[in-house]
Amino acid sequence: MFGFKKETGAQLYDRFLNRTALSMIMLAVVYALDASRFFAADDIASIMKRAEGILGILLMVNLLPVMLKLMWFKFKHMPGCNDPDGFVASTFKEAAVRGFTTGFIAMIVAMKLSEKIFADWPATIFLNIVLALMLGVLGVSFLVANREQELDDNFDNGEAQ
Amino acid sequence: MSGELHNRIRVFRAEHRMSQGELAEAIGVSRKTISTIEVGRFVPSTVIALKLARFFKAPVEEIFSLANSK
Repeated sequence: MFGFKKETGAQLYDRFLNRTALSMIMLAVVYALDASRFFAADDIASIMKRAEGILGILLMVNLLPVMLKLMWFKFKHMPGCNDPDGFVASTFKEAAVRGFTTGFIAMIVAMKLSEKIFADWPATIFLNIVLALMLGVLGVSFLVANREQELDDNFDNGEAQ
Repeated sequence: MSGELHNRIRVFRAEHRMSQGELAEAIGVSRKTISTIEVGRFVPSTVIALKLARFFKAPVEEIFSLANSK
């Protein structure tokens, strides 16, 4: 239905996690822009707001097709499309822990800063910064851990794919 | 990640004349999972180890072993 190339369930699940991480980075930028708008002049702030909307659309375009294809694969009970044991899923879990830890530490720092130094800033700014850090760390650490591409030894014809 | 765990997946693949992609598809994981297990970067779960053993029709300890085991 959706496939233009032969893709196994496990490969599709890996691609879904990669796209999810990329979407997390886009979302982090959206939150960072949202936080920055408080300090920007009106004309710049309106450009930033437009950029946030464009990023939101890009995020959906990036994630939605793969998500729908994965749902279709799961509906058809294709093996491997819910692969919690694989390397990529394991890397994603590690990245999620790093993201959560960063978010937790950032939340504590933000609480202290909002009480003592930046008491006049609205709470949404701190929340946006914390979310941007949390999602940014998750996405970047996942993509960094996943970046290497190993060659596939094909013993059948003696060539590496 | 897995300095202590050795594996002989590459040897078994060579015997079966299979690529990483073919082995991955056969046991329902991605090629990246197989390649990272082979180079010792990723320690597989028990389920994946057992699937590999079943596929190669060999005991798990013939495929995986601890670095200091004799």
